[in-house]
Amino acid sequence: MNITRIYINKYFYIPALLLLTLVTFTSCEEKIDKSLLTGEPKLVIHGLITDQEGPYFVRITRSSTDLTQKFNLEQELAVSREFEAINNAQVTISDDQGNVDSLQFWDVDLTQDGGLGEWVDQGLYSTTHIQGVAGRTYTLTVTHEGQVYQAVATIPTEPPTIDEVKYTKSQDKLNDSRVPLISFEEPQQQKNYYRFFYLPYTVDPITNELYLIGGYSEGPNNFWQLISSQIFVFDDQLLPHKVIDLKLEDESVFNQELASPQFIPNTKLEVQIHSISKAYYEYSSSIVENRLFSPKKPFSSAPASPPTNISNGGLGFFGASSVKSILADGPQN
Amino acid sequence: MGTYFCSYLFNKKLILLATLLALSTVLFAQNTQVLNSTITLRQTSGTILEFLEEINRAYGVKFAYDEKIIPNQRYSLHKTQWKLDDFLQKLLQKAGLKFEQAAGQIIIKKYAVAKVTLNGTISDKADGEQLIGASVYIPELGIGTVSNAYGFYSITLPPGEYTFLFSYIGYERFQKKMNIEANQLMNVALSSAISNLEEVVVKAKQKEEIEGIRAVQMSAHSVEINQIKTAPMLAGEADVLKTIQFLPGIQNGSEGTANFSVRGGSYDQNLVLLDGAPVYNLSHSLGFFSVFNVDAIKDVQVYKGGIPAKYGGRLSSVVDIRMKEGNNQKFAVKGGIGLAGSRLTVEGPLGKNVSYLVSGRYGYLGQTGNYFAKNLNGILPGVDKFGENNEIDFYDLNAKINIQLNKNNKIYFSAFAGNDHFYNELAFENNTLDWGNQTGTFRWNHIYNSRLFSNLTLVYGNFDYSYTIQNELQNFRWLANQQQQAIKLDFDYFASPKHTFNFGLALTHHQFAPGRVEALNDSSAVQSLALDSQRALETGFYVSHEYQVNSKLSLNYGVRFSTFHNIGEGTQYTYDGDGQPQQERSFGNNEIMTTYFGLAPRASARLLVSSTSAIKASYNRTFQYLHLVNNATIGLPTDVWLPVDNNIKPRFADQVALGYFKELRKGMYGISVEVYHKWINNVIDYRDNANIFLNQHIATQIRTGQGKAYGLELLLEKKKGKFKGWVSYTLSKVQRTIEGVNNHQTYSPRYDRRHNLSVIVSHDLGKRWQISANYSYITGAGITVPQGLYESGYGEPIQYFSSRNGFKLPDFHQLDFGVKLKSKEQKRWQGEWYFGVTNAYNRKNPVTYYLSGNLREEQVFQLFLFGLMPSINYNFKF
Repeated sequence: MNITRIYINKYFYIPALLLLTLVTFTSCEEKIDKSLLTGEPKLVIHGLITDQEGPYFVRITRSSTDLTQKFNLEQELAVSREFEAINNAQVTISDDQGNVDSLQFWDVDLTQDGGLGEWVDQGLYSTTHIQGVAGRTYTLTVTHEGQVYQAVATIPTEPPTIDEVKYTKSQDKLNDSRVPLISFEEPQQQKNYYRFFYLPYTVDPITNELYLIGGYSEGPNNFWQLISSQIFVFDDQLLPHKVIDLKLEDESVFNQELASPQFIPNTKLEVQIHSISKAYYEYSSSIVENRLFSPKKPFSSAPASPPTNISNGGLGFFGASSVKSILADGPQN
Repeated sequence: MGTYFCSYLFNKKLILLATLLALSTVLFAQNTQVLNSTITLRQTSGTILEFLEEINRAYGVKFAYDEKIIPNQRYSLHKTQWKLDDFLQKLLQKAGLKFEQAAGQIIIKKYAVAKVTLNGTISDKADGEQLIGASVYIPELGIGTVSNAYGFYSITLPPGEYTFLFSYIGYERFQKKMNIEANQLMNVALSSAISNLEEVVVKAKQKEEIEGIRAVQMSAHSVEINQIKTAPMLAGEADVLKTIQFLPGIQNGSEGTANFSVRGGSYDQNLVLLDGAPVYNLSHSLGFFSVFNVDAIKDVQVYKGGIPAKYGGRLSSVVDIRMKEGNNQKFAVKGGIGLAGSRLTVEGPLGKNVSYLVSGRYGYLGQTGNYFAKNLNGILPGVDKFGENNEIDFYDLNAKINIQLNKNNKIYFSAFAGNDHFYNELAFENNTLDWGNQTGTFRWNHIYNSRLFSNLTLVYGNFDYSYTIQNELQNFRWLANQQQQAIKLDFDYFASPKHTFNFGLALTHHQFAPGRVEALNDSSAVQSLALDSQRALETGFYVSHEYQVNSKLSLNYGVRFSTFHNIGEGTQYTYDGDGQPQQERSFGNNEIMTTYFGLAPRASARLLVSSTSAIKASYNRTFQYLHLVNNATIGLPTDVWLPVDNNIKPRFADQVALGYFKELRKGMYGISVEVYHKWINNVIDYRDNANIFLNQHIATQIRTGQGKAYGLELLLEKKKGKFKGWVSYTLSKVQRTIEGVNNHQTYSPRYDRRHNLSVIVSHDLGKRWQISANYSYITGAGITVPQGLYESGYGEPIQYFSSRNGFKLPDFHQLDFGVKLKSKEQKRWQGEWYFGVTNAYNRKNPVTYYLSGNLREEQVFQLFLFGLMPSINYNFKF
């Protein structure tokens, strides 16, 4: 059974505490100024370096001290909020071989952006020449407003090859979505953590060129992995040697990526398997936990921020991965 | 042993003496009042023989004795003028000799035995309840003892005529002068003190007696039940565990709940015993009341440090609660009626040697709430939120029977059962919570001889809870259970007034069923599941020696050796560095899976600085093999106990404490200052982002590290008189450093509260009125709060939090009042009205902050338990 499905959506004790109050005609719940809880906003740094060809990207934003989420009033759904982008930081990535790369502020050429324009001024920085190599250790240094934030990550050894991609129906009955099923051979003798990532393409029937679909626009390699909401992370402890039909479905999200209109003939799916570090896995899985239970966890111990490898009180994560990809046929029905 | 007469005693100057004797015989021989005559000695120091010689020479008193029985030791006198009778008594007593006047001479004899023992029990005259810790004092010798947990005392001394002074706080002293020449049994019954004692106490000239400063034990409190009954508490329900939170060094966990922290220890480090049986869950109605019914309780002892070797199994404190034996003098009924609950106690004798007590409580907070919700809707804001179909009730039942089999054997059987049912219609949805404790204790007191006392205890303890969730999506019941059976054998050996030994052993069998989920129907989204049950054996052996080195210095030192064994059947998991199960090993029934040992030295010393002040120091080490796994942050009945295993090591703590104790105005006031420092090893907490709900591999979510706590405690008590109470102040700090918790940074638990000022007082106004008040001012508790939102890196906002318990709530302060009006004395039916006000100036003390509201209008709220809360209760007895 899936234990996480036992879900009780109230704080356990609050009702209990309410009781006596009510018995005695006094109020015990009182609205307060949110700013009582919050302190100074924090710098949030996300970066990813892979063994694929560069450039690699770093995104810097500032946290919000407004605790409450923003909602789309019509659909009553939480919407992605705009966080203040930090566009004037000094960012470098160096490796243990003495290579140093000063990242450039990522200024998308709006004339040929193919939809990437929305990322202009979003606190994005790109590398100019450094190359990620498995086994090397990379240090990210961000200097902003006199503060220096650092993070260190090592690119793990390469992941196994994905053998097969199949599809199954997702919980999204409304859109009749599909989710991928992945098969591969897991090397049991070594400790591995994996992240999966996929991008749907359509094939131009004439030129046979691939075009990204499903809300993704054309972008450089290593970019969407940093931005996407796909969190498919696995610890190999729970995986057998022959992994068959591992489902990539985010149970916290209703809308899955592969909605039915997309499986027209000639779709392709690029599925990536990333070998990631334990820390990267833990960061990602704590985000999953937060999605499932956030923010009111009745049966939990004291809540804590997701772990981070950013120093100096920063938030976010600098990840490193080695990647293998497969281009499979998209769902056929 | 024969007595020898030596006709003419003084081996030197025999001739001269003979002459003098002849003369003195003329002067004194016929005078039978010779013992009442006053003598003046020239020397203030000498041997017995020298003094006798001088008296004979100067006053012609004739002595007869066997020279061999007279020791050659020198004695010093503090004055030279004596009544002969007094002088001889004092002098000869020291040498184990007595004298009598016969045939015109004073014959000096040796007592038949060198030492005699007086023993017996000390009890309350009115109801026969044995008094624990009552003192026996012999002013002539400057020695004394106190009664043990069963009212038993034993004191061994040279034969002679002495004054025996029996006293106990709140009771009239009993004094008896008697000649004791052989072992003797004396049971003493003390009368409860009259209320206008204050003047008497101050004016009367009193001799020394054993009070708090004389005991070697430090860092301990004996809380009078009357003080507990008097202190104004929520809904007028007197509460043992809430009252002790006003003592120095004891911090409350969450306001309004029974959870408490002692000198920086977590809630699960307190050993709370009811007649020797550990009580695992201490709360009724989710913590608003504690499970102990004050009408059934006789005595509460709290140990914060210098913990006696006979106690083991918890790190930080022992709260030893003893139930009344039941009135053995007359049948009595008492009870009380209040808004939140009612009580009834029946007790009395059954024949000559048996007494019993049955005491029950029923709590009906739900019904009271429903009534208000129904009848006051629209009149009072917020009442409608409560709903009209709540089920919030509890009951508890204490029963005890005592049988005095003969003068050396007594047996007790006591039982406790408590159950809670909790369902709140609106706020709690369709969920119900049920929990209950049961304990049973059988004890056999046996007196081997006047100096060796033993007690055999058999203990049974059980705790279960169930949580039922029923809604469209889910339909399941979650159950957990814990049990223990124990056998304990304790000995008190009163070797001499200078040496007392306590030793014993204990064997406990623990069973844990930490969690089981049962689907209530087929459509439930939940499948049945059970976490592994676990069993363990715990043993303990101890010995301690209380040694009165001299009139100023006393020591108590000892050791407790304990072992803990996880036993099968069961599965042992080994985890890799990532907390993933690597290996499983199965064990058969009763097979030992893991074993731990603990050697815990304990030592205390007391040095009298003057007759009214003392310095005390102590060191103790304690081991703990069980820990509480909290399923909710605030401490709820859903918390389960689990044993240590191959992954989680036992916790142990070392504590040193130093204190100064002073009594003023004949024990009316007591002042104490104590400092302590405690180191806790293998302190546990959940890792950051822990997943603990029904987790089979809970060990992977727990991290261990180091903790330390230190502090200063001040206590000023007024112990006697119309006005009684105490003021306490604690300055303390608690810190933990645990890898994997709070990003490896040192942090403090919720109950780390720097300053704590507590006042608890009561005052009798005439014979019928009594007023009481409590006040606390405590630094705010530390909580973890969301402090903002940030981009998660996966395209969505996510909360980040303060460091663990890094956000301080505002300081807590609260004033409570109570007024008691008793009916007139002469009636058989005695009633009393109790009016109380909790939180008199309506302070809003937040216990937490949280986000709430509709999705679109989420707001930050503060939650406080209650504003000004009146209560009314009626108590009666007949």
